[in-house]
This record gives sequence, C-alpha cells and structure tokens, in this order.
Amino acid sequence: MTGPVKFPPRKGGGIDLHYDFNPRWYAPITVEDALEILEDNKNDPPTILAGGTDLNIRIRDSQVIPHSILDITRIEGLDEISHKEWNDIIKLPGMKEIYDNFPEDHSFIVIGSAVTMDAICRSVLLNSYLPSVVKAAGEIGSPLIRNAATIGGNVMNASPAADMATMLLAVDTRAVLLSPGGARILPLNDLFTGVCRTCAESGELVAYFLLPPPTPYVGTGFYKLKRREALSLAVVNSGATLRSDGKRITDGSLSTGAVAVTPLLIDGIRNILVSKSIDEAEGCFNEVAELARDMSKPITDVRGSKEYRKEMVKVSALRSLREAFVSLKRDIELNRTGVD
Amino acid sequence: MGGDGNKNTVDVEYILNNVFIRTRVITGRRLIDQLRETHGLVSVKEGCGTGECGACTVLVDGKNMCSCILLVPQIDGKKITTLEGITTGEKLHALQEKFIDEGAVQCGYCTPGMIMSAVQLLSDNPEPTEDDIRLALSGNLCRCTGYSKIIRAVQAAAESLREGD
Repeated sequence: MTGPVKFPPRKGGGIDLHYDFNPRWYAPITVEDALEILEDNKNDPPTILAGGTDLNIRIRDSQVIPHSILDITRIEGLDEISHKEWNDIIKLPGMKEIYDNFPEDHSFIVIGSAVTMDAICRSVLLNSYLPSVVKAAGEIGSPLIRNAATIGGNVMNASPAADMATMLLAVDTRAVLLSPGGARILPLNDLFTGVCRTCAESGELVAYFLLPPPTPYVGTGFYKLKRREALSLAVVNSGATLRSDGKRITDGSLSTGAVAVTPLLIDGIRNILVSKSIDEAEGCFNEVAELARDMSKPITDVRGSKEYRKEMVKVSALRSLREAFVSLKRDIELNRTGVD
Repeated sequence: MGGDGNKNTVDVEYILNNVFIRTRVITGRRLIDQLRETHGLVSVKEGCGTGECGACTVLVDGKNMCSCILLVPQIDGKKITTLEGITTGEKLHALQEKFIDEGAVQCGYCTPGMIMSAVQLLSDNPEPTEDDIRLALSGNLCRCTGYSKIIRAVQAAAESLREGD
C-alpha cells in the first residue's frame, strides 16, 4: 500500500456535497436498540439505510439530505432466512405485542429485512421452495448491487418497478412493522400507497417479511421484460403463484410492476382460477392476463410507451403464469407437500 | 459517534489490504473518497458514481461492491480489499498477468474493477464457464474492448490458478 497522496480539493458539482454532508449515524446491533433510537427521535426520525444502493445515490444527487441515518444492516437476526412456526415467529426480537388480529397457526418462511439479494440467490431454502423469489432477486441490478442491496430496501423504497416487491406481492407476503410498542403485520398490498410511498409511519421499522410456506402444492413464476440483461429497470414485470390440492386450483395470485403507481396485485384472478381443475386452468390464463392488462395504468417514459407497456402486461403475466403452472405440475408430480 | 464542531464524525476500524486502520471520519464520506484520497489507493476509479459502471469495485468482506455508493461508516469492522491488495511483493496476480497477455486492457479505466469482480468470481468458483464469467462481470462496464478478451483473460487466469501457478 502506498502512502497518503495529497489531492487538490475538487471544485463544483454535486460531489462536493460529501464534504459537508455528515448526518448523525446510528448503527445499532439489536432490534431493541433500533426501536429505542426511533422512539427517542420520533419528532425527527432518522432515515433508514439498508444497503444504500438507492439511498446513497439519492444523497449524491441531493434529492435527500438526511440529518441522521439509521443503518439496520448490523442488527442481529435481520440478516437471516428461516422457516419458522408461528409460535417461534412471535418470539422474534421486537414482537412484544401484535396489534393486528392475525390468527395464523401455520408456519412462515421469515426473511429479515437486511437480507441481501445475493443471500436470497444463495439460500437453499428459497431455491428449493420459492425459486421465483430467487429469480426476482437475481434480476436486480448487477452482482455488485446484489451484494449490497437488501430486501427491506427494495420493498420500502416502494418503487413501482421493484422486482422483489412485485414477486413478494404475488406470493402473498406480509411485512412486520415494529415500533416500540409492538408489531403490525400488513399484507404487502396494504403497505404500498404511492410512488415511493408506504403506509409505514416514521418510527416504524420493517424488520421481517413473512412468506407463506409452499404447502401443499405450489408453483411460482416471475418474468421481467427489460431492455438489456444487466442493470436494467423493468419495462414490465410480473409474478404469479398457483396453489392446488393436487386436483384443483385452490388459490392463485398475480402481480405486475412498473405499470401503475405501486406494484399491482391483480384481484379477480381467484374468481377466474379457483376450483378449476389442473387441466382447465391453463385455458384460463389468457383471461387472467387480459384482466391484468385492463387493470394496469402505465405511463410513457424512457423504457417504453404506455400503449406498449399495456400490451406487454398481458405477455408478461402470461409468461409468469405459465412458469408457475409448470412449477406447480412438477410439485404435484414430485408429491412435495411442504417444507422439509 | 461523536461531535466535532458542527460535523458528525464516527470512529471506524477496518482492515484495508491486510493493514488494520483505525480512524475518525465525517459520516457522509464515501468509501471511494476515503480509499483514493486518504489512503492513496488510486486503482479505485470513479466512473458513474451511481453503482452502474463498476469502475470503483472493491471487495468488502470478500464480496465485490461499488465503493462509490457505500459510506465509510457502513464498512466499519469489515475487511476491504482493493486491486493494490491482491498481490504480494513484485509478482503480479494471475488475473493481472492474463489481462496483459490477452490484451484485455485498452484505456484501462475499467480494468481494476473488472479484476476485483473476477477475483471474487474465482474465489467462489475456480472453474467458471463463459456464462458464469459474463454474469459475474455484468456489473462492470467496458467501452473499449468488447469484453471477449476480458473473458478470455479470466478463463486463462482461472486455468493458471488451478494449476497452482
């Protein structure tokens, strides 16, 4: 290593901001400490940083200038992916009291909000049971970004085009929002309220995501239409889940992103698909995809015109549904009834 | 955490190219500025400054990341490796040698980042296929070479490392 080199000071440009930009910095290692920091600063809450692949760019561009930052990536337990029974979930740090009536007796796959996209790609559990979540994680940014970017950041950034948020919506994920008093558990669809807006209140920390386990038979699919292979934002993306008891479709969901102010959950797919037999189901996909197209409200931007996007919603929905269907049929053939 | 006049500073410790560093920085300082200006490690290049080009790639605890979108407090307690830290003494790393042999360098601005991403790839997977290499380097942009020579260089380096060269 060479010694320090004296550089002349740089002039002009947004980059100089970094010499003056110096927020208060909090890096707690327990959930309790993080909640205490949020409580102590509730009139002036810190900006939460969970990887920084988006926040740090917005800081650089002076779009946000946080006076304080709470780095959640060092919090114990927030970087874990595990399969847990409900009784163990309520013992997770910070889950003192659960505000919502949430009578669940089954288990969930729990993903901490500081889990990186790279960790999702490498997770054996997710690779075997929810491969489309892995696929969505692998479509984000580049390997360099995936090593830093987190699931919590992707969701709470609330970009309408977020790949992970769209896929999580399709697998009926709930977010656990902790505050010093207890926990709120919200379906992801209720979390998003607008472009880059969520209903999380300042002082709340999104700590965990609960994904229903793949039981009894489930298939998932994800498709992202993009203009190039790496480092691209979606023109349209789409996630799908199909559940079955082995003979009939018992549940289904479809989501699509980059075509409305939030990632969009397509209601009405259940009415079309549920109780159809496996053989009949495939014939209904076109109807479902057209429903998604009709529900979408895309805008024209650099990645595509609204007319093109609207048509592509149908294509993207069809592709994700077909992928889910193939995976569902394989699940039934293998007679996989749940997480081992 | 501490106050330094009006500035918020933070004490950080990290291992940089196998050297233990303890220092105090302004909380908003980017890792790339710390590496280039404080430590003089000018192999770390700033291209886009927004995490898209990969010219500023360094290893953080063995994972390649863009140092332009990391703030120094984020790497507290971690191990940072830059291109200067992959070699010992005078001998070049196999990747550096093969980049030269294969002519995988034209203007050279992307090269340090390319090599750092390749270092991570080869430590993960000593026998990468061409697709593995293309994927691993997909966050590192090169506007000169057209990538073919870079990919050949990584293949050659993987081979030479396997042979224990």
